[in-house]
Amino acid sequence: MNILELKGLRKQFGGLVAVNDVDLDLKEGELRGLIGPNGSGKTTLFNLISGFLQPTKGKVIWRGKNITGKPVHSIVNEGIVRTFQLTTLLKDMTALQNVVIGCHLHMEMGLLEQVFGAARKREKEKALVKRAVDLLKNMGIEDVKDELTGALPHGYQRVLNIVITLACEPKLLLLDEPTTGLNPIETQQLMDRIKMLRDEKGLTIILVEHDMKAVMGNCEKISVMDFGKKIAEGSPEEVSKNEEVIEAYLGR
Amino acid sequence: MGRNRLRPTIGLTVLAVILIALPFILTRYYVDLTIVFFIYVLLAVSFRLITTTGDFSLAQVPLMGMGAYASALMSKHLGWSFWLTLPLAGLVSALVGLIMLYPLLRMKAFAFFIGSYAIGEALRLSWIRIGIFGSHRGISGISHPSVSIPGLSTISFAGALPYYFLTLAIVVLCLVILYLLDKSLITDTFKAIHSEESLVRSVGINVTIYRILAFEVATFFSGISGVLLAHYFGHIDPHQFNLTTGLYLLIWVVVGGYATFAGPIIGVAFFSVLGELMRPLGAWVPLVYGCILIITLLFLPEGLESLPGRIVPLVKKMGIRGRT
Repeated sequence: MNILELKGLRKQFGGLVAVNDVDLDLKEGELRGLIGPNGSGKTTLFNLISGFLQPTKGKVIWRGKNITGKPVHSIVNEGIVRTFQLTTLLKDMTALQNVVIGCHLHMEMGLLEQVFGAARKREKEKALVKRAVDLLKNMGIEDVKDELTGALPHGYQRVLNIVITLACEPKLLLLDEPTTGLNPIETQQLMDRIKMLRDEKGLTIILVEHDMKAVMGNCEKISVMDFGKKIAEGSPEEVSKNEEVIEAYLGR
Repeated sequence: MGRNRLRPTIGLTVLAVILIALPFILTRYYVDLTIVFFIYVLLAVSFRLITTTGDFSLAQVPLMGMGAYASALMSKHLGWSFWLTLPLAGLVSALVGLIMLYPLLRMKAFAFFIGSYAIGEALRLSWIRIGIFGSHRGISGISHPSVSIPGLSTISFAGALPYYFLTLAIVVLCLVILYLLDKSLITDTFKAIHSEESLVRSVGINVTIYRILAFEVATFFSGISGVLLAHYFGHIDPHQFNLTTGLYLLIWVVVGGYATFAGPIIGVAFFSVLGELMRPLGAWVPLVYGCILIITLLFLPEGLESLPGRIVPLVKKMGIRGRT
């Protein structure tokens, strides 16, 4: 069964059609690559799925349920979480604090309890911190948990962004160019961790990526966008032989 | 470890002793000033709570006035006791604030700032227009709080001395609540909304609810500060809550610093002392205020509270240089 179905999804900004009637089906546990030239609408598509933008037309079906146009926080509650192309961290807080904020959905504390609570609150906060540390450990960056994120090396910042989204216990992860600015070795390390998330935690992942090698080598299926339209879909071999795709990337 | 834990306890004890001894040492005039100081500390700390989410509200002074008017009207026309009108007037302020938020939540940063001025001013002008608020003359003869002990006697808080302790107790209680809030995860979330709103949204936090929460809690306590003001002077009018007061509040908090809980308290204290020293200057005082604001923004953008952090390393450096 498809976990996510996009049906004729469209987003228009005035006269510009950023996403043009895109259909997309995703199976549970899939690691899908989403590629396309700059400005082809990949990030806008993420914004539509995650609720950051409202589609002009079309539907987003999540596990058979229509979630089109719902606010971001209820879509996150459903288990769809996205990252951003640019590193987006709370720079004057520590790595751990960043993840704790991400854990907010699983806090299980009322507002009054957070202000006035005593022993029980401290226990819950401890559990929350432990959870955050475990998440950092899982992605191999617990050694920097007490450092301010603004001072972290770029590679750590990219991984930390993913850890924060994991704190929401997502079922579908939308990763927007997670390897930007990483060297080839760091890129492969991060790709291995992303695959591990899929294999061990059963996450479904859509990966927007510019690094062709990373996508071709790690995704079983790839969708290609150009000028807001989905122009091809298939295995890495099929896609790389597709005339339209070659044309989109190299020009006529 | 033991020493570090002991230090704040000693500090707080000393502070408590000073605050309790103060009204017995000071003249009536300075007791008056200190009471007003307490009231504005509560207002400034509430104002700063909203700034943690990145919004600066010029509506806080009119909303303080809303609390003052609500309590004055309830005690005059309905004859309700101060102990009932105090929390109720805070709630009235919060309710009026909630209505204001309907348009204000759609605004951010500068738009929020100027929008909050417009809507706060609209509230203030309504007191001039609507009969029950007493127009320009405002409301006079607001009763002083009192406690009657059944079968014994009635304690009135009419004098400066009893009202000093009443204000001190209520303000300290409110500050404790605001301090606990400041130390909780909720304030981390407020600050996170300020610095990276999209990240906060992406992890499923309902940003709107948190903005409402910060504004509503702050407005409740602003209302409480208004009640304390009204029942002390026994008189309120719309001019007490005009833009000038709003701008002074802004200057207190910016000069004191709004990054930490202590900043606005330092700011109000600084300007209270300064205001007294500058009394001979008369009409020149606002000019000095402006200069201090500009100097702070240029040389101490994080406010007076960041001063020790700047001076201590400097002194240490000089000390090391002196030794070698």
